[in-house]
Amino acid sequence: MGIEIQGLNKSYGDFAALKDITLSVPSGGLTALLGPSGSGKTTLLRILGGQESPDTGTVQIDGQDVTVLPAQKRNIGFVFQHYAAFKHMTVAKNVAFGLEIRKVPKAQIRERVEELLSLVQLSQHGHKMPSQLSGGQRQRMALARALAIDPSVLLLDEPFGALDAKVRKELRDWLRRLHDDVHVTSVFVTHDQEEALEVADTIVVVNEGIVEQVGTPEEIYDHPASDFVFQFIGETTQLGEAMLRPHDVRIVPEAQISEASGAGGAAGVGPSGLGGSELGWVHSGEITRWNRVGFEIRLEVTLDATAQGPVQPTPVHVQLTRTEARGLGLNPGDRVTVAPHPDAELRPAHRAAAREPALVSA
Amino acid sequence: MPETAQPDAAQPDAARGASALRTPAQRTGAEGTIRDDLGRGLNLRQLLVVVYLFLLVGWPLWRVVQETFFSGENYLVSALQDPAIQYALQVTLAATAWAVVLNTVFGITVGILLVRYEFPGKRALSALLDLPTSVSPIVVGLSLLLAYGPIHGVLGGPLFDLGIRLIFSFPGIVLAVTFISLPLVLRAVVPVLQEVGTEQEMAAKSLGASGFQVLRRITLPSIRWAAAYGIVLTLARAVGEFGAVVIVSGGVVGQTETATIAVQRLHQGFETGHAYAVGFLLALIAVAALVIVTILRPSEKR
Repeated sequence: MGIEIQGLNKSYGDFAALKDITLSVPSGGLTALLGPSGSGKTTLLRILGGQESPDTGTVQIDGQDVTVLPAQKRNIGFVFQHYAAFKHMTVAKNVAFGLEIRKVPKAQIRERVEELLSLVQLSQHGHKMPSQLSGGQRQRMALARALAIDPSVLLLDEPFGALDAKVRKELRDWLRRLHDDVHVTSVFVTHDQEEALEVADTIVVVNEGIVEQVGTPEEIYDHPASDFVFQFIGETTQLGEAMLRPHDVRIVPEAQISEASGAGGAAGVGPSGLGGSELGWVHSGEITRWNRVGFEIRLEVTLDATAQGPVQPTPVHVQLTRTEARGLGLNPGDRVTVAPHPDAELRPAHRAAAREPALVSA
Repeated sequence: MPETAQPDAAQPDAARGASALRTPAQRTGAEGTIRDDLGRGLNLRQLLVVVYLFLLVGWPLWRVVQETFFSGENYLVSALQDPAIQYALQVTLAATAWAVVLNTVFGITVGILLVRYEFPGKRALSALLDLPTSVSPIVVGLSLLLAYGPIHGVLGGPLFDLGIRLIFSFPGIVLAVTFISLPLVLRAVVPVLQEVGTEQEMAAKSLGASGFQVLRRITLPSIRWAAAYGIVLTLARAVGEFGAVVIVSGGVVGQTETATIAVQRLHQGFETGHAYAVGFLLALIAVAALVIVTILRPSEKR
């Protein structure tokens, strides 16, 4: 069951927002539509919500074709980025709105509203106006309002986008836990990789109107289906002929390698300290930038140039924790040897490789 | 802090000369003088504004009040006992009520149309809607006369033959005041509609509300204060309209005379006391409406 999307197309004039999307969203899960802005993820969500209609294709929710069904008949809970609170109604009235429209008896409404307000931890705020609530509280109210109608699907459009970093993080955790209790099929749109990786059961990576990959957060991160997913889902850096994650670069001070092998590693071939790495991937260079961000240290290593010119146009980015850096005895300006981690997801650096000869000849 | 501040305060000269470090007490003192200077500037500007408003608005209006109540007798009471004046006031209030109703319905409908929908000629329509308030009322009166007048009127002639009289009768007065105050509700409502946006309406729809329910429960409540403000402006404008009305009504005493026309008649007929009394009433209605909206509004927002 869940949501079945078949051959969906949507264009705005010449711009194709969605190109032949076929996707099935499992029932009861929390699915993230992840993509950069302009990728079509919000258009897809709005088509699910009935706020846009597709040019071609069909949408089924729990086996029912809803492609041409107007928004008010879909029984979908929709949470907007900017809360869309009904400003002239109290919090309780906001939550009760969908039930009042459905002509549910008053006593029952009161009971359900109380239940929902306690679910979203706003029991004390029912009598207040939305303007008296903080951003996070308003978004929780919006969520309660959407859940009040027992929706078959809950859609969230960048639900934490308008909140500050700390509240966003709290609300993410809270949404994850709430979903574990409520189990309504939920789809949320985000451009924040971390948010998708942290909250979702399933991630759908959307780019330029097509679905790049569907998978669990682990699958998406560890086995990206395309270069786009690889680059979009986390940071990447170039090391010789490969692209990889900055935290998958192994780094060893040159001094330690010299000690281990006995001979000088100055030629840039000192693999003994970097067991498991293939010979060709090992490079030496110098730490040219040292950026400490909380527990993390971000380094840039500029590789030594060979006789044919520089190995690569940009320095290698390396991420490691403060503890690791201390253990290795690394300091800014040190000479180091870098190589990919044996388990690293490596991708050929097409563009860089193609550009290099041109640079040399010029 | 008090420990360090106290000795300094005891020997202020020494402290001031000794170092650039200043105690909190001294700092507040310095800031206080700056604030006083600012305060004086502010007071001067406030004074200018008050004097200007007093000379231009307050004092002349106060003169009307004086003439009404304090120049021999209470003219308001005697004016209200005059049947012609009673009738003129009724005509004005009835025409105003019509104008308010028509322009509120029109203003909200067209406001939603202008803000929520795209259609060709939208900008031209929007510009055109300001015309009624920018054209001189007397021109409005003349144009209505030409269109609906019983003799020259393109539409008015045939209608007159059918026994329907628009000009020189009550419908003509309604036409004139409605025309003159046409865009006031619209202009009050449009910016609020733009600011509110469509998200709340979409949210209501997703919760199952029909188009009418969205209008009644979301759109109208969110613009009600803007609409109320527009209504007050419409009311004030309609109550005080003279130029357009004087042409289309004919000003027959006890039939098509409005309050403003009565003021002119009384004034020219040396019944100045009654003229001021009616004038006072007209001003009072407008001020009262403004005050009521101003008082109601913030308590509702909170």
